Amino acid sequence: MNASKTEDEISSWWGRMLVGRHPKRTLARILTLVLVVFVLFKFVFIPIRVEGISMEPTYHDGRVNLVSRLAYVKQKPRRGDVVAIRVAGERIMYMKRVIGLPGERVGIRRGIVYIDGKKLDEPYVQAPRSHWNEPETVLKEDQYLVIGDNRSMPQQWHTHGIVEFNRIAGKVLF
Amino acid sequence: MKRILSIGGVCLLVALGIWAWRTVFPGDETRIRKLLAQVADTACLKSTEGQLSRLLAAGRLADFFAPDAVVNIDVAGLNEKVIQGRAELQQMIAAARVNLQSAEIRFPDVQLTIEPDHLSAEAHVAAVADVNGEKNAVIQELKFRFQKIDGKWKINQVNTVKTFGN
Repeated sequence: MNASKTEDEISSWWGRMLVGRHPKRTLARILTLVLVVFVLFKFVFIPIRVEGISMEPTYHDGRVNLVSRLAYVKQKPRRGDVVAIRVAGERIMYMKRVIGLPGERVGIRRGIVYIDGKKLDEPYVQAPRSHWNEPETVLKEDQYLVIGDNRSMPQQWHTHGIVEFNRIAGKVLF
Repeated sequence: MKRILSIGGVCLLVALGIWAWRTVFPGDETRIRKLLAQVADTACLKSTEGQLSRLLAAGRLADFFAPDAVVNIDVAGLNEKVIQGRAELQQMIAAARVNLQSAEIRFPDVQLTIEPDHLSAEAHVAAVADVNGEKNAVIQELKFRFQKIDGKWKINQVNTVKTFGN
């Protein structure tokens, strides 16, 4: 038992630095780690880097984050959730906040969002707000109104609007 | 040990063979993806580029399209526009390039579907453009339709897609 253990062990210090005391165990650990990382980033999370200013002050340009693909497997997006929206894949996505839910009547008057005629309290939006205006519309089943937090931007420079549920890739984690 | 080495060697040779075959005879998907990469590359514009070079690039860009190609542009902030035919397209591209300082264009997401007859294909693309060195990139969703003409893939239709509804 001792003899075989001695054979498997790496005795030189540089060898231990390179592959550890037990190379087979090191290899197993590396393979497990690679497998776990692959599964996590293929099926559970999407790593993202924020570009642009449309989600300021909540998310700044250059910030790194994770999107959970599983967040909406059992439940639908809720108002206030920050979500990633697919364009044609998952390399380029929009990051927006869910404002209006399916079946709701939504509209914007002088920068204030109204849901079913009532003013929406949005603590994440900082003053000053630009005077955006959007006519009232009723969201269809599976439609969500999404807008970024930076409402000081001119309306025409801020990409926002209605998306279908199948465009939502997941929920931004933190 | 020798047996493992010889099996490894055979696997390596097979992999090399497949790679060489695919390099020499690329499939339709590889050819269309390469075409899109060339379109993005040709559409890029450096601020140091002269007018003649810009006009020549417009011609090269138009060459990626079929003679009867149709481009439908419907984006927020611009009037809806339909460009019909390669000649009109070349004029439009040339005019647009004269007015731009610089543009860096890429297609990071390409979802490609090739029809079973291998004569037409469709690509759903996310186009990203850094225009005139501005910090915020322009993102546009596009649908390309391709047609194989005389054995070569050409773009025969481009439609802008609105990611967000009103």
